[in-house]
Amino acid sequence: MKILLVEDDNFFREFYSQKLKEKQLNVKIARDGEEGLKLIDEFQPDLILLDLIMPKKDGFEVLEAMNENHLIDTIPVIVFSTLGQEKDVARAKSLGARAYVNKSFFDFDKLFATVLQFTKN
Amino acid sequence: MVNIIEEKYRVIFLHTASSYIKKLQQTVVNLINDSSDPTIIEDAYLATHSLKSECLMMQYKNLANFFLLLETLFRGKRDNKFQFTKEMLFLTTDELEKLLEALPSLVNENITYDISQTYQKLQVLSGVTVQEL
Repeated sequence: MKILLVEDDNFFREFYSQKLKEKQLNVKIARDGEEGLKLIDEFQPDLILLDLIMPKKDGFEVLEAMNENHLIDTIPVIVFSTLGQEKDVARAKSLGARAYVNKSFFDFDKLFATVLQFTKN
Repeated sequence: MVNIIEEKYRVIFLHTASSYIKKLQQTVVNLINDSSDPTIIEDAYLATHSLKSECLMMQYKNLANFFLLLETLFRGKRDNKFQFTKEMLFLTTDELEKLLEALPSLVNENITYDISQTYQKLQVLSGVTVQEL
């Protein structure tokens, strides 16, 4: 299973990519939205974990681009957020994100269950 | 909530948090010198956003709330809805300096860092309160 992690913060990139790889998932990392869109094309992930607040195209711009090329219908996007961003999460869901995970409260079982939920089909 | 932050990730936190704090310090110095380059304001907003999330992950809740407040203020500044006063900027830069110095002990020796005075004073000076994490 191929997972694209789009996250500008090095700490979260390292932490979550390692945890996902320990579950035998094939993980690619993008450091911002611009790189994320490029890797969606090249890597063709089964699922995207998407941070919202990033430089060089934020998560909303990534979702908007995915809507334009209809990739939002075929690649599930899970938003990676922190508490205090409820409005942002609502906006992301209106743009087609399927779920959100609070990246600051480390509950890997919950994250992994959410990843499986959206990729089993 | 599970708190399993292995040492290798604590080291990464120390490095990235220090880097973000230094970036913030530079922005605050620029603001004190009346430079309002939108790029550096945006960088400061992103830095405070990341610091908030990282501190919350590391369970430094008081620091997370402090950076949430700064994130809110920098977002306001970016959107031309808020202006920092020199007093706020000097208060912030003094605190960031102390925090930067204390960060290795915080991470490696688990000391408690009390930021409450600066946090409360900044809320009063800015007139902004946040819904705490």
